[in-house]
Amino acid sequence: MNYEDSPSTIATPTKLTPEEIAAQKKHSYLMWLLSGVVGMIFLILVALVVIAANLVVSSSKNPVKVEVPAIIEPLPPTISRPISKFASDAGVLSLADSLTKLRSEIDSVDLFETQLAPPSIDLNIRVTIQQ
Amino acid sequence: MRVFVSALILSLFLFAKPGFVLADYQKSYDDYTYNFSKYRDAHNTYDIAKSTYATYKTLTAKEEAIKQTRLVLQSRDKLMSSYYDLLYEKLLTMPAISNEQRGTFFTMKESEKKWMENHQKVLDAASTLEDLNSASGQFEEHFPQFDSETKQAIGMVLLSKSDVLLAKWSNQAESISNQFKIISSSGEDVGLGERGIVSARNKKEMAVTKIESARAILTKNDYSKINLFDAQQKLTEGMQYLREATQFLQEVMKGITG
Repeated sequence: MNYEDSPSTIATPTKLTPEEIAAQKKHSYLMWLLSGVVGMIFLILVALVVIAANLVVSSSKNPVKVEVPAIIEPLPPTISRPISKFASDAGVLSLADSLTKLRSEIDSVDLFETQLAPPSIDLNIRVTIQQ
Repeated sequence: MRVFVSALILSLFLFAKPGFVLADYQKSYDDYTYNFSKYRDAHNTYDIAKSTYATYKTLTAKEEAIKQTRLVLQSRDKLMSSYYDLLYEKLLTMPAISNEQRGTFFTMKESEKKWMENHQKVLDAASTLEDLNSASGQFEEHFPQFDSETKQAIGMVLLSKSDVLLAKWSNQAESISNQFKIISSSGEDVGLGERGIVSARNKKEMAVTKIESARAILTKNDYSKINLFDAQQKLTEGMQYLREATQFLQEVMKGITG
């Protein structure tokens, strides 16, 4: 196969007219300008995000004081069980008192009686007879 | 008739000495500590005499060893005798111990004192190391009986303390229960308190179980070694249950008094 005879697949540059060259220059200038504006907007957005983040951090460090109303309504008293009318009965109070004494007796009972501990004595009192 | 009167006077003398029992106990304790101190001194001297004789094997050292061995054996008997007196006096101070129990220990004490009196005679008569060693062996053979009897006496003291507290607790619980009946009859709801009394009684039953297992250990009649510490542990556990039972009753009462 003769390659020289086959049609070329590479596009050959066409010669541009001066108007076309001027239009191309203008177009590239506009592209530069547009990317500059976009870049500026992006920088401004970044700056705004940084400022907002700083504001959030500083507000968490110094929480905003919330004014509490000076007068708080008291809660209604919660009584789980009604107090018995026998609460101050002499018999009941005497029983409670004797229970306290019994508790104290139980706490102080000595179940080891060290004074009565068996004496430690030597059962093996023996002298070996020497020859 | 004369025998009856004598027995009555003797029993009054033995078992009914109000007011003097604590003083007698203190005197017995002083005697016991004095005898214990004498025994320790005698034992130290005996140790020295024994090692001197073992080292030098001289006739003088042998005579000294005989003398000191006799002294330590005599003081050991006296110590044991005073220990029986101490225990008996302690039993007299305990109100919950019956006269029968005291009488039983008194008989044991007198019997052991008789044994020691005879043993003292053997010691006094012994003039050789062989005889003294043999007399010491007699004490050693008899010791399990001493040990068992004296530990039973200690057991009586400890059990009587526990029994007194149990009885007091039962009376308290009964009084509270009666008080609740009065409150209930006035129309107040005492359901919660009554449930508290039931829980307290359950705890008290646990205490009774522990005290009974201690009693089983302390009232062995054979001369096997009584584990006093084991019994004391059981009694301590029993008292812990009784303490909890009392706490329940206190809470029940707090439900009324507020």
